[in-house]
Amino acid sequence: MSAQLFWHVVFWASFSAFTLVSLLIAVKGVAEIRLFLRELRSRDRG
Amino acid sequence: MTAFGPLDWTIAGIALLLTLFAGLYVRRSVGSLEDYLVAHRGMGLYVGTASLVSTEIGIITYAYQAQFGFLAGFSAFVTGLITFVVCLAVGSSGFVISRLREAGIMTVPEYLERRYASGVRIVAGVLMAVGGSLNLGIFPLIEARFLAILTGLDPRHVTWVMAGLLAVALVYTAVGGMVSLLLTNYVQYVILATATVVVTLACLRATSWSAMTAAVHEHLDGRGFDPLTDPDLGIGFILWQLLLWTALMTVWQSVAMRSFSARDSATGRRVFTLTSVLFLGRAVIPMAWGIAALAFFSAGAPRAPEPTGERAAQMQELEATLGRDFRSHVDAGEIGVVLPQVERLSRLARETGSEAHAASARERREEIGMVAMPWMLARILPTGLLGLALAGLLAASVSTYAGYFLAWSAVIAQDVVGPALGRELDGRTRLWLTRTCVFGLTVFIAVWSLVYQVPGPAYFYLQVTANLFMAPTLVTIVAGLYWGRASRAGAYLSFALGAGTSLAYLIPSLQVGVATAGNLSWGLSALGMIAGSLLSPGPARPPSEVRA
Repeated sequence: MSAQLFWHVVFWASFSAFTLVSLLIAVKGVAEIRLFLRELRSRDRG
Repeated sequence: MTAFGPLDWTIAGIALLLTLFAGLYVRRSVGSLEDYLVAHRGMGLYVGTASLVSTEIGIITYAYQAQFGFLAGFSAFVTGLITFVVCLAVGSSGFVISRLREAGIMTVPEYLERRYASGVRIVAGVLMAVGGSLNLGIFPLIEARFLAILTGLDPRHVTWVMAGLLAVALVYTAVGGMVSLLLTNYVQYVILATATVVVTLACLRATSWSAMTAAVHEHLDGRGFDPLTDPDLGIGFILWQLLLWTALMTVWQSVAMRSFSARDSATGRRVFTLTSVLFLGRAVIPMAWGIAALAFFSAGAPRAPEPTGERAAQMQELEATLGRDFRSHVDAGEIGVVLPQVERLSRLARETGSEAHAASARERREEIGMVAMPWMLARILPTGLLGLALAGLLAASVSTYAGYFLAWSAVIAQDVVGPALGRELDGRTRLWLTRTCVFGLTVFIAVWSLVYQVPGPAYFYLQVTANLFMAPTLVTIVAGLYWGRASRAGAYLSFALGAGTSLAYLIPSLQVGVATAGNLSWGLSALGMIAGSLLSPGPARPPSEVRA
């Protein structure tokens, strides 16, 4: 594999993975934030 | 020059207000120092990952990574691969982070007191406070220039924008600490990731991958593809990066605080595993923007007539031209005008073996590399997308300031001022002290960024200031966790040798290269720990006894 092709693959793999994992965080993070806030509120009341 | 308009300001302003609202929303939930510094250890996987990554991505990250890509081409990507491998390895093995999480500490130097002595904690705390503050101190300096180019604002007004950003970060960090950070970092991450993806697609649309490859071939004098043979990189640089990133992933306070804040050590490890992929993008994506800028401005460069005459006379003529016009061209974004002149000067200097002209060309190229990417974005992004890009950049910037304010203030308050007072402080006083340090650090950063000039590439300055304490901190922590014979004398010697060697890079007359200083500091830190521990076994608590 030439160096050019190698770096091409590295770039697209990085960019794709960054996009997909960011999407995952955006979606799954909402539920986690809700849970975190619920825990904070219940602790504040307690 | 830039299509930045009211719509863009509105988009960026709304994003900033959303962040401030999120940060202040949870302010009432901070009751104790543990809430303030480690969010009551309630951080989950996805929010934790967003928090870690958004803290470690600022405008400055985009700026220096793009500069690195502009100067070193695709060879720069090797640092992204190193980051990925190290982060994945730390996440998979739990190396250092699991044991520190189980120790129940809130700052990294706190472990050093438990394992060695309170003096070691103070030494580490002072070095971290100095190195961390100096590291953070140039962020506004570089970011202000970036924002001035992107928005077209007068640099004097950008200073006020930077002051506003610092104030926003200060307000919610001082009030809500890590609890506010987790919430705001999630919002900020979503904004900055969206902007990153959009800007990348815009760069590729404006230049194309083949144009980028051709630009690296034509404009980097045969460099740009092989990091092993690159004179500025090479095996020494790669080795140093491996060590530095191992330290950054394990004992860099702002990163370590995320593993301390995790629900449990398994969650902490999973955060690092997921982060590895994002850290690869954190390096490679903006580096590609830098390469795209090289291609963009090379393609638009006017063909200047080749000068004739002796090469020495040509160099003198180029120096005179650059001395007269370089600054105004760079400030006007006329990169395509000055880049060919600098390249020609560099070529002639190489052919004649003139070190002075080579250094001059190199310095100018570094400066072009710092501004080429934002100038390209200002040209290629239309109204609306510029606002989205700015929103992403501001989110990145504010999250970094907030994360670092909290991290370094925690160290200053808990590991320097607190122990130096010589008496046990109650939780309320320690919380007050940390908040005061957040305020003091913000003022220092604002002042330092106004008075300091960065020597050489920002990437190297940032890594050397970090290395001031990274090598000895990791060495003493690893030895403390995994080597029963590690002693107090070894820890002191490790800090003395490791920090001293890093300082050598900052003294120009010593002419110590950045990678040499970096690697030496690692070698001497380890040597100091081994020699000190063997020669003076002294009292130190064995690793098994240092638990929460």
